[in-house]
Amino acid sequence: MTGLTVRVIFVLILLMTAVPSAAGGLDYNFEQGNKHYTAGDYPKAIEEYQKIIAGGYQSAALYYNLGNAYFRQGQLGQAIMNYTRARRLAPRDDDIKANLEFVRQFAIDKIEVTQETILLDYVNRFFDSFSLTEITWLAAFLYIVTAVMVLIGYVYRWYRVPTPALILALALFSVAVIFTAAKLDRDVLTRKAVVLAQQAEVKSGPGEDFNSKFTAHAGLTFTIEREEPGYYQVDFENRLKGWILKSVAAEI
Amino acid sequence: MKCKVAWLAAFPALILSAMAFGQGDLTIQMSLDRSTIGMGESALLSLSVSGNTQNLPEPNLPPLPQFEIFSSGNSTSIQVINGVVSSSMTYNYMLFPKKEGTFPIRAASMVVNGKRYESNELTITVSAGGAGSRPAEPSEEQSIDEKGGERDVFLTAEVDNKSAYVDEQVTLRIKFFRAIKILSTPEYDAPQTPDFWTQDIPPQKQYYQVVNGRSYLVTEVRTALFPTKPGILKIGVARVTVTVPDRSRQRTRDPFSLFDDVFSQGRQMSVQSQLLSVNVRTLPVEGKTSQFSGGVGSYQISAEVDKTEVQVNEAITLTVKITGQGNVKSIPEPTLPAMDGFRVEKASSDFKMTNQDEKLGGSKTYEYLLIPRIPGYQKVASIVLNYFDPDKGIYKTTSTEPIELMVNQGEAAAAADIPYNMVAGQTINLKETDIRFIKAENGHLSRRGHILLTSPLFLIFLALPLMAVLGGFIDIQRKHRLQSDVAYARRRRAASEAKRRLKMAEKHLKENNGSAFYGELSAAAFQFIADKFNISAQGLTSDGVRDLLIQKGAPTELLGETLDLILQADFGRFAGKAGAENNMHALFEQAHRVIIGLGERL
Repeated sequence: MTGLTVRVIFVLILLMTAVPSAAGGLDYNFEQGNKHYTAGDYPKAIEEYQKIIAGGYQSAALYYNLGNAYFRQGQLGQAIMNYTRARRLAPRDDDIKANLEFVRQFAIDKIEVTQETILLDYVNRFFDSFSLTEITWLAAFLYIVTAVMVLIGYVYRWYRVPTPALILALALFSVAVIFTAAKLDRDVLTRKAVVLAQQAEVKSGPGEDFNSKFTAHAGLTFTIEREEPGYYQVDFENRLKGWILKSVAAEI
Repeated sequence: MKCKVAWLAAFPALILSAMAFGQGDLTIQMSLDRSTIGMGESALLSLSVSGNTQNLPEPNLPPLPQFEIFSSGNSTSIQVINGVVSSSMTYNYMLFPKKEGTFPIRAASMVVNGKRYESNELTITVSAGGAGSRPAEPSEEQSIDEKGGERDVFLTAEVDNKSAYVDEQVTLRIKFFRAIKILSTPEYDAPQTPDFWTQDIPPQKQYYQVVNGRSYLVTEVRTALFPTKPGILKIGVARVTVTVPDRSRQRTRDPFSLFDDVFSQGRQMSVQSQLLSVNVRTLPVEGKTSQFSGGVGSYQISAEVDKTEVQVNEAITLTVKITGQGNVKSIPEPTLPAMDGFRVEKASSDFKMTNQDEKLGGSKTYEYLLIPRIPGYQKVASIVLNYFDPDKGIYKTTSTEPIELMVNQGEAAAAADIPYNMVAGQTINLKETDIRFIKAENGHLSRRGHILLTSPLFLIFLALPLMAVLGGFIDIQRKHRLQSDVAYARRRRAASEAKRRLKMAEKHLKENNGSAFYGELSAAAFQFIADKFNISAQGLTSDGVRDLLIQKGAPTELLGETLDLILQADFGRFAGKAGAENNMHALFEQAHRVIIGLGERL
């Protein structure tokens, strides 16, 4: 690789990770929100934090602080939703994990998750510990390592690269690609939502006239299976299915 | 003698002659089974079309605004009258009178092949009662007495309560009487009851009943009706359509009547019940309390808890059950008494319907979660249900027993500024009693909905290593070729070599070293051409260059300039002295042109 290529890659990484300049004014909102929170004025704090989101930006800290403010306001559903969003961006942040676990204790509905195998448990723990961006970079890194190995060991033959090393790099890269696809499916393609209303009826069909299966409460998390006018068909963690009004829930 | 043969009994010859039947005119005969009917009865109007009955259109019935008309199918028959074969098509209609009087029935018509055919005209009389003179609204017993015994099938409707309160049960019984064999499954149209909430009371009952000395099989359907508003509410007519054996045919005692019994499709007829009305009263104002919010019937309310001794924040399930007779579905949820010591959450509700002796009833169950906030002796006060008893016409109150609870101080510490209480059954991390404080640093802000994988910059970044590998591959291929292919290598090197020599020549020019300058120019030209075409520079002469360039197809001008350059350079070199400085400069420029020209053109 020439010096030019190295320079281009460096500039690209810088461009991809740089804080957009438009976000500059939003730092002010964040500080204002923190001030209101510290003073105990939670609605004002929520208002300031929400301005940043309305501006099209997000961060783990922002969602975390917003979750705190909503919890203090007694809006359990909003709190759980924002902590969950924060955890997606920063999966290993201890504060986010602790607060999400803490506020979940106040949710009325406890869903008994069916026992999973140990292997599946490890896989889940892996996916829960890394964000989509991190896994994507991991795959990209392994891709570059493989490319460099091919370049110096097989194209230019500057160094002798053992074949097993190349095969290992290729295998790791393939696994990383599969992980990236799986994480994409979990975080982006699978739509999750949280009940925001204090109480919401889970119906057996998309309409007021259908029977109620049970009463869900704020903070209950579910997967959106499909949409009908005004209603989501939802799938709870224990595989129970039902229909819920769109207006009582929010997508994570 | 008229002799009728059913299709299946006909001889093949008969079928042939029927098919040969001509294109004669059509005749339409209209007939009624009875010319006098009562309200609530029906008459069968038959249009019999004889002649060529293939591809007939539907006949046009005369306007009959005084009747409701239902088509009841059509039938085809082939007749042999005095040896003449004819086919006929019969269209049947049921007429249900809407009012009394004598009404003319005008001719029915049919347009076939542009020609209009008309039927005869008839008159029908609708009397107030049945066929005889009857009171306008006969009571149930009377109508059975008068109709019964004469009629083969009939339908009656009755309610057990002609004067009810709103939401009080009124039981509607519809009875279908039949004294003859029925050829088809009866089709039942339930009455219209838009002002009632209805619930069927299964099962259907079947029994025998003797009316006027004639034994009838009775099918009884019961429906519970709950009036939804006060006033005189109508219950529409019920209707049953059945196929009965055609009695008129049986009376003709011809030898073929045996086939009628076996093959006759019978006669379709409908019977309907009379209209009913119920006088529905509003609930009395007297005795109505503010707590009353609906619920008519007779009910009991009960409450129970799953445990009476708990710890703070340990959930108790309170089950409130309302049972009794009446429209359980319409009973509102009971109001729980104020419970300051608890957080109350509704968990579920459920209701079941039952029927006992034709009276609908059931139970409604509500479950609540009570989460005690503070320790100590606590009490769930009586839950009161107000309802209206329609049998006695008064409001009544039923209530639950108070429930006493003992709440112990739990292990969970009292939380600070939290609008929730912890729910029992949860393992609580004792280290955490509140949420952790907000973060001061906003950290890395990113665009919402931004996914790295779909970012164009990232994709370009991903393309770079691939391009590097491909580029490297091409590069190594080229180097490989330079090593193995001499001609290619010399061709690639030719320009740089010539450039080097020209630079040397320029240096000699500046030093005014004429001989060396001409030597370099000559060498540059010869070496360039030799490299370019991969031949040896030694032994390459001016003539050799000319032949080579002509062979390679060089333009004449370039050829001339090249030969001129070689000639002048040789001349300058062998003359042994420096020429005019101007000439040397011009020759240098020419050498430049020639080498660039040869490089580009060949």
